[in-house]
Amino acid sequence: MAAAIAITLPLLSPPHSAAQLSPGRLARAHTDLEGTGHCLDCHTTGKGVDPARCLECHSLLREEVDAGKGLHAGSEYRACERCHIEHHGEGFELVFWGEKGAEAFDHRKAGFVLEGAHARLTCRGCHKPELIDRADLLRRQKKDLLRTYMGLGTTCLSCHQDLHAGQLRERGCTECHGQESWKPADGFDHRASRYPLTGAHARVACERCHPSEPTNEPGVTRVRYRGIAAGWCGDCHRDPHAGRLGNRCQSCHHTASWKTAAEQSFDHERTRYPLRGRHRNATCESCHRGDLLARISDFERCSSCHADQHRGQLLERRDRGACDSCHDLQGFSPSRYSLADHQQSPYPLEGSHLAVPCIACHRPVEPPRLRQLLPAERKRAPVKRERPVLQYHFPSTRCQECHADPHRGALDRYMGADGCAGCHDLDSWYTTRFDHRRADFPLTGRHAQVGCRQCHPRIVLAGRRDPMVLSDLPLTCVGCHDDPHQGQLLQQGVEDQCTRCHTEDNWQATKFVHDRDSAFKLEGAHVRVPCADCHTEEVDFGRPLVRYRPLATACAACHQTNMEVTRR
Amino acid sequence: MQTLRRSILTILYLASLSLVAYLAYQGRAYYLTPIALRPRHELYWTLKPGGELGILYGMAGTAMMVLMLGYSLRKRVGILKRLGSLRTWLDLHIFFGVIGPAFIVLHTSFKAEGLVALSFWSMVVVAASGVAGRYLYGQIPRTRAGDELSLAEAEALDEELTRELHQRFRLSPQALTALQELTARGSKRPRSLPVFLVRSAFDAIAFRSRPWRFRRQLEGVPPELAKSFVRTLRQKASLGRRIVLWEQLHRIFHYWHILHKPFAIIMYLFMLVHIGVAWMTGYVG
Repeated sequence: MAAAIAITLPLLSPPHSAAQLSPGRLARAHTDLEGTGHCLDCHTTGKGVDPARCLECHSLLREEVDAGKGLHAGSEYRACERCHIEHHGEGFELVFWGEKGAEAFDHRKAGFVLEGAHARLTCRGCHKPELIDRADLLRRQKKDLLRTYMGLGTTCLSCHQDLHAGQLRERGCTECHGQESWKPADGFDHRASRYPLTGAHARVACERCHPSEPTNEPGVTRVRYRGIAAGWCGDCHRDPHAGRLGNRCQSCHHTASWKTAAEQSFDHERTRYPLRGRHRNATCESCHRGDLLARISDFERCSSCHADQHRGQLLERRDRGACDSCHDLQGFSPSRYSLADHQQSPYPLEGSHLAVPCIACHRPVEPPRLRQLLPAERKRAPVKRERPVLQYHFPSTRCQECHADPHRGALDRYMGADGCAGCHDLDSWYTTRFDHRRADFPLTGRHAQVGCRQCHPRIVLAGRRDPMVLSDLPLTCVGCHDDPHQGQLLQQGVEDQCTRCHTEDNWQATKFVHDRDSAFKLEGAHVRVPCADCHTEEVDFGRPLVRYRPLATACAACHQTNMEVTRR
Repeated sequence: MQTLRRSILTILYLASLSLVAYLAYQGRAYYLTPIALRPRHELYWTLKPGGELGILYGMAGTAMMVLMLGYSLRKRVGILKRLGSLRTWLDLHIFFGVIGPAFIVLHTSFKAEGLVALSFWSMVVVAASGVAGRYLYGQIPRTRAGDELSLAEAEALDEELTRELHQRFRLSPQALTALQELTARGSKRPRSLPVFLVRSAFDAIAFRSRPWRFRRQLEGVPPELAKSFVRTLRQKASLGRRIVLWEQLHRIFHYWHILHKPFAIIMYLFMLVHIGVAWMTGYVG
């Protein structure tokens, strides 16, 4: 018994019992609580380890638990000793992460789900001293900042720098950014902003509108997202209209392209070229080819858009061929070029010309011919499949420009400066005023009374019927008249032998003197003999003939003896 | 009656030890886990000393350890002498002394640290000494009631057994002489106490087979009679050995009490401290 007491008492002495009453030494973090005097600092009679006692020291944790934050706010983590097992020695880890260690900790239990890039970080990637909020407070709580997992905030800015420098403070980072990567900001929808991006705006790189700018911190820049002027298009775009059309660009344009005008709303009246007439019905592309908003230079000139169908023929006009002189916007055809206008032209219409349709004179001319007519056209490169152009330009106003010369130039020597008008007038070709005295055959005597066609007949030559033969006509009597004498009276070397006996007044041989002009002078009774008694009618080659030659001059030739009948 | 008592004891031992074995087997995964890793084991909160089952093991074991004191009270308190024989109380004392520590071992989860370790190891010493003491106890002749025989009573009993062997079983004087020699072999005065204890234990085991050598001479004898003969033979041999070693046995038994009781006191003392601390820290109550 004494031995038992001798053994027992020393062991019950405080220095020894302090170490022996405890089922084991406390972990290093609780070294200060070693000793029997501190048992009730953690333990409560009847309750065991009271979590409230734990939280008296772990005040920061108590704040989180009271606020419902963090892992320990969960009901399954209220019994401290269930996880943080003590009395297993100084080296015993009070925090047990499980077989797979801290990296396998389900962070959802801590009230912060790790997603995206966060999930790939190691624990200490975030839980490091420089990111701990209220680090000083933790240090005062004797927290090892290199080992604690407390003190981190759950907002983005608690760990990450606000690169927007507070511009977007009213919005949460997660509204735009995901946790996989800051860039791109997939959550950002520009359509939800104050300036939705439509059309071409959607294809513009962000930095074009959101430039980087320096901040107060040296070497630090930020991207401007606020305060960007976007009241109207001119805040970013140059106004090619120089303010003439106001600042409501969207009334004509839309963001798909400057070159795509809002046809439904584009008011051409506001331009310097209001659409009139047929222009109203034209599509934009028909004038603004390839580039709807391309400016058309010299838009006042029709030729800026329309090809000169006259191929410059009218450039010599006083108005330099201005289209609106003849045409209006209701259509090129018909033109309003009137007869009155034509009377002002270099070729006023007179006579029959007044009744001639335009196309009769202004005929289609082939381009090669046109190039011959217009020197300027010669310089123009031939266009494939050029079509004939109505001729408006005539090298001269001579009748030959339009009319073919039926005389085939035979009367050119009679034309003179007046040309065809020297004989003809504009009322009719058939009304001529030719002075026959100018011709090689002046009309005298009965010739002057003869109709032109009796001497100038219509002939058909080479299949072509001329209206009248006016040249190369015989000038001798026999050229027109038949020789009734059938050559009896022809003399060699004598032209126009008819005139020896006859005149142009009539065919009576008024100029014939028998005694002078014949070989038989009429003397005596012969004077009283009718011509027919000597000069009898015959039929020669089927044609009646009065014989004049040869006649025998011997008396016997005419006179018979009493027995012969005088021959007539 | 004795058979009934033995049967009952046997059943109790079997059941209790089976229960302990079963509980130990169920918790083997935890018990085989290194101590440093046990806090992470799924059965930690069940089988740790303060766990759901661990505390029950402790309560059961403690209850048995307390009930063991009944034997001491029975021996010393007069009123209790009327409550069953001392042998029965001893049997219960021994029973609780075996099963109780087993439950305590389960309660400790095979780990004893701190001040309570003194109680634990004291318990181990007490239990081990109890085993030895049970053996020594058996070496001291007693009445059926368990009362210790005096030397004279033991010698008288030896005389009676000799007479029985001679008269009932008709052993010849030569056989008796051989028997005497047989019993005397285990009764030589030992050189030292420890040697004596060791040799005595071996002799006790070995002697169990020796009487059967006489059985060859009992051919034709009815089995019951043969069993009775062997039993008497053993009894006489045992008694004879004990008589020869009477003094040594009593001295050893006296020393055993020095070992058994103080450690029991230490055990109970630190057990109370341990329970008090456990209560104070909220693990019980």
